[in-house]
Amino acid sequence: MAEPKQLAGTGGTLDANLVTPRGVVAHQATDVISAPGELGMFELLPGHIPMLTALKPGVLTIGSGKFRGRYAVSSGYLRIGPAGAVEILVEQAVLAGDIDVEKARVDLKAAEAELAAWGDRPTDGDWKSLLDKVAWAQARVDARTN
Amino acid sequence: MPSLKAIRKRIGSVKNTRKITRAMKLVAAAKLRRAQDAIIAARPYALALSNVVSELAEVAGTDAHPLFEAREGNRTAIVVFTSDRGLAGAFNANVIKKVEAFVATELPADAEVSLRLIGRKANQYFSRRNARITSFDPAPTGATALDVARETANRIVDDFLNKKVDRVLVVFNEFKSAISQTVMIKQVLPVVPEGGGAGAGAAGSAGGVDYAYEPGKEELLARMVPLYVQIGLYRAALENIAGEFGARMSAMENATKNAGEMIAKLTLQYNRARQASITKELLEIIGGAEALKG
Repeated sequence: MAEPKQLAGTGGTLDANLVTPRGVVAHQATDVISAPGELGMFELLPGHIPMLTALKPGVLTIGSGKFRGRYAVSSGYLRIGPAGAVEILVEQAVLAGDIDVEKARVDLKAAEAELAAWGDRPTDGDWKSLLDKVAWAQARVDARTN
Repeated sequence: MPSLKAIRKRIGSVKNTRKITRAMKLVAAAKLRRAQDAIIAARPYALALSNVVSELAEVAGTDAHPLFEAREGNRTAIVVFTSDRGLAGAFNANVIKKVEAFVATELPADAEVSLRLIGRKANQYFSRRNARITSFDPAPTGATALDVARETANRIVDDFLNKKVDRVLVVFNEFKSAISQTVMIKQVLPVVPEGGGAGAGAAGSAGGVDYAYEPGKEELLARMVPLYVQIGLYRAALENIAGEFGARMSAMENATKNAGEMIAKLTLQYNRARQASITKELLEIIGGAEALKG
């Protein structure tokens, strides 16, 4: 008789699900996730206690070795449940290989220039959008270069 | 009675119009499918985020974040979604009518109403009527919907937190099917968490699971609530896109049908006119022959 298939999360795996408003970007069983937490980069291993944490724009990697998926992500959250199900919800995510790094650099430069020219104008919602733009462009550049 | 040539010309022009409306219908149908897929794709994210926000609101209390705070004031901002282009039946007119009816009947007479318009049609209408327009953006497309939602969310969240407005509503066409769209008016701010979440856990836990919250619950709420506002607007934007294509599809289908009817009518008229001219010619020939005989 074939050995029963091990369920994700019960025997040393994480069931990672990366979701954005545009749809599910990745859904895979893995052994390690590294994510850009609000308080700094962290690594998540199987058997982690249930946790809900905020993510900031940066580079997220799921898996290791040749199964490693590297993504640029913007802000969102990561939640690991008691059974090892990892829900990663971010507003934007793109696989590092799919990033047009030249365009990301151009976007970054343009957004930074706009931010530098902001001057004395009030730091309102549009200013916040600009910060988001800078962070997202930076995350895309980082995902390809670092 | 118009001449044969004039009728023939007219038939040709109506046939060309029919070609255009038919093509527009097909284009709208193809785009509609993509827009519907985008709505479906956004569901898992919206659902998960909504759960997290209601769980956090449950464990931290709804007074934990200022975006939950219901205020007494009567400054209302309305985010209005329309399209950039017409030729979509009453799609835009319905939204505009709803906004005007709402302001006239549901809000107190001294309410200060400001508009954040998305879509040129809304701007064309309201800018002519001296409405207070705080911002205007072109209508979103599939590619720009998320950016439009983010920018608008940042603006209204900032307005609300800085007490420039007390309430924010969004008006958009909800996509029911290709032939029916309903104009919806929804409150975006203050946020009312959809009750229950994943289940009523004891204080300090969500859905019965003890989560470690990093940073704290309040800080998490502060990050998640704006995202929740954003996804609400994103969904409104997607519904608006799908609704526009649905409305255009049925409008163009009707136009194609009407063109067909018109062509049939004109063809009949053309044939009659042709027959009349043949008869007239025959009579002239017969008359001429009779005269020669005489």
